[in-house]
Amino acid sequence: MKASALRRWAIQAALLLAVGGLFALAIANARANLLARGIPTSFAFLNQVAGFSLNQSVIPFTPLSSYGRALLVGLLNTLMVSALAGALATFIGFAAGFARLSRNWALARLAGLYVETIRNLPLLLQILFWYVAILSPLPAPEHAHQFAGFFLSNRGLTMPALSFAQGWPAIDWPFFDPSVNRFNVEGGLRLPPEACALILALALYTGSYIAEIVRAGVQAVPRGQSEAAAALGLSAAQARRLVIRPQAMRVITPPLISQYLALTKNSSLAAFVGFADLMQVSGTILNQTGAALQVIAIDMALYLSLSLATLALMRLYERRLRWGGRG
Amino acid sequence: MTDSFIRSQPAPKRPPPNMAPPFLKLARENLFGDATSSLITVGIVALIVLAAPPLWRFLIADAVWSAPDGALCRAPGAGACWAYIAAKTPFFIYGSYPPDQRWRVDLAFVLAAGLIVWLLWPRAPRKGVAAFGFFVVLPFVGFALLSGAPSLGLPRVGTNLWGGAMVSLLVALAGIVVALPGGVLLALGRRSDLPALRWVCAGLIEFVRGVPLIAVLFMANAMLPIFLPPDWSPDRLLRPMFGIALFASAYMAEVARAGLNSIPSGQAEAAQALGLGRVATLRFVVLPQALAAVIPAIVNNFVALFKDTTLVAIVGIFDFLHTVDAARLDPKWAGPTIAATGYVFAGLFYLVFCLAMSSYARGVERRLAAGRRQDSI
Repeated sequence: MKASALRRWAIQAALLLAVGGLFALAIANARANLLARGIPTSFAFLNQVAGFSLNQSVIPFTPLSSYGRALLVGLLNTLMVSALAGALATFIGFAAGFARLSRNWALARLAGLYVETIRNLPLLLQILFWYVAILSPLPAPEHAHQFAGFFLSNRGLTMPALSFAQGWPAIDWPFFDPSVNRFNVEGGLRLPPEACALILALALYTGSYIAEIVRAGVQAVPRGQSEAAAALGLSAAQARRLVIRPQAMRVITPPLISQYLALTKNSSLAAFVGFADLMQVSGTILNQTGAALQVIAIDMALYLSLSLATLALMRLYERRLRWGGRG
Repeated sequence: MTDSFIRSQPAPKRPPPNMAPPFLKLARENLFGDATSSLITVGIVALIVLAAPPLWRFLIADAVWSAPDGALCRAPGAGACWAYIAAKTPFFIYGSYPPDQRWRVDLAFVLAAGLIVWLLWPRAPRKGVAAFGFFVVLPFVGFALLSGAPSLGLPRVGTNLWGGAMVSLLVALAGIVVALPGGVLLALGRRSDLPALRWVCAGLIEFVRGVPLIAVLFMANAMLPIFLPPDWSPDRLLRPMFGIALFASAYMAEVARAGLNSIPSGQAEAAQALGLGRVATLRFVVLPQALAAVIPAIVNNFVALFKDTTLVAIVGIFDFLHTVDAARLDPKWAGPTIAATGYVFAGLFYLVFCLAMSSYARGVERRLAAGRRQDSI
């Protein structure tokens, strides 16, 4: 007994020593390499002037702003794109998931075709397809497709927005007037084509995964449940709302949350189309300052905290289920 | 009272009743069950009628099937430019690999494909030999073939010339070769009763799973040269391959852990009662069952891995999608339909590979389910 305990300690100590030694070696190498190449080793560069502009920003940003602010813009853009794509993906996913369960054969097959095709294509291919093959050949703002105040052109999608410019909430309608701006639609909220392609591709891609989650969740509710609901005199709609949905949502929600997390991580593919998300901004900063270590550390920390926050949310939800539920 | 009738001969056999409902009835029930259903069916038919002709014209009828350059494809009204795909196929497959050396690539991938079929074929004998060949011999032979071995008369070919489908498959294969054993080891470490080992493995797994693959690739590309001694400077293709392998191992570890968790502890206890040691218990009792139970999840992981290989383009590697995307800028062919043609072609390539893997996973799932059903009776 004592010998085996001793061996356990020895193994663990050796492991920790090896890991620590690896880290120490890496840090020593890094210091030597960084000094040799004249790369900054502190976070002071965050306060320096960035000197580049970004194609999308929810907070004021000019080329004179600092690197730190550029990273903040990137983070906010990542969150914005993820939120928009997440909402759209949820809608698409639930619609396609229910459609696959439909009694209508044609609808079920159509939804199945969507899910099977989109899931088996790389997300990057889809983003590039939407960006290069669909959105770029759109007409110039002069000949933009217009629908209910929405303008779709090769400069992106411009939509009506809530504006507080005059001090009270008013709708800011986009318009195209050659005398004001010959090259773009003015007013409203504009999503550049990069963001449109990213949101569209992310929503369709994640939607196909959510569709499968929804289908599995609904199918996980035993048939006896709806039969029992019918026996109690509930209508089909009531049974769906009061019996099936609460039970299906229990199965659906945890994987749904991990899909949102995957979507947020996948939004880093923005770097391929040049949308100013966290990854793209950090890539630019990395190239300008050479501070690879610091920039990547910041990125990792931000993405990790997003992941951990989502995981904590999921644990909370699961605990609530245990309390309320099956005993 | 006498029996009025006793049959002396069996009644003539009648054909079994036709239980399958007639086609029209099926169609009526499944397409026009009620008003909403009819409306949906009409809508879908309208969609097909609207979408199919333009697609047919673009992909088949108006497509340019053979042309010396892009002039015909640039003509107004021309559809997909398949001639461009035909002209660029060698580039899409081999990148800039020297044409007279391309047999080496073919040989390496025929070898890999043979070993994979051997491994996956349900009734193939001597899978241990195949596994040894795939996980141990293939990496060395493949490296010697692709990169060159002057002592064997194979001239060196720098990785800057590699590209196309060959790089995509290579990165994916390297990911599989590393991730399967690596993932299993990480999963075992995470379940170990040594706290330090558990923490290290869990930390590595959760860290890698918590960040996007692009960040891992950036890290591998920018930080490996910083962390290693200056004269080691890893090859530019090796760095993203390291990142992909690390990423795939972390995801594989979670799949392997699910498999290990699905094996009742009675199995290990029974093995120990029979006198098997810890390693033998793992090797002959626990791991075979655990991995077999999660084969579908493993294959799905490889589908994801194969799709993810497209991201190595972020560090400047010319994988299949990147070569297709770069080739559309060739002034000889550039035209309005080239981009769409290239992406449709690339889409078909990925679809074929991923669907093949997915359907294999589904077949295994069905076989496993059948086996379990028999056990429970």
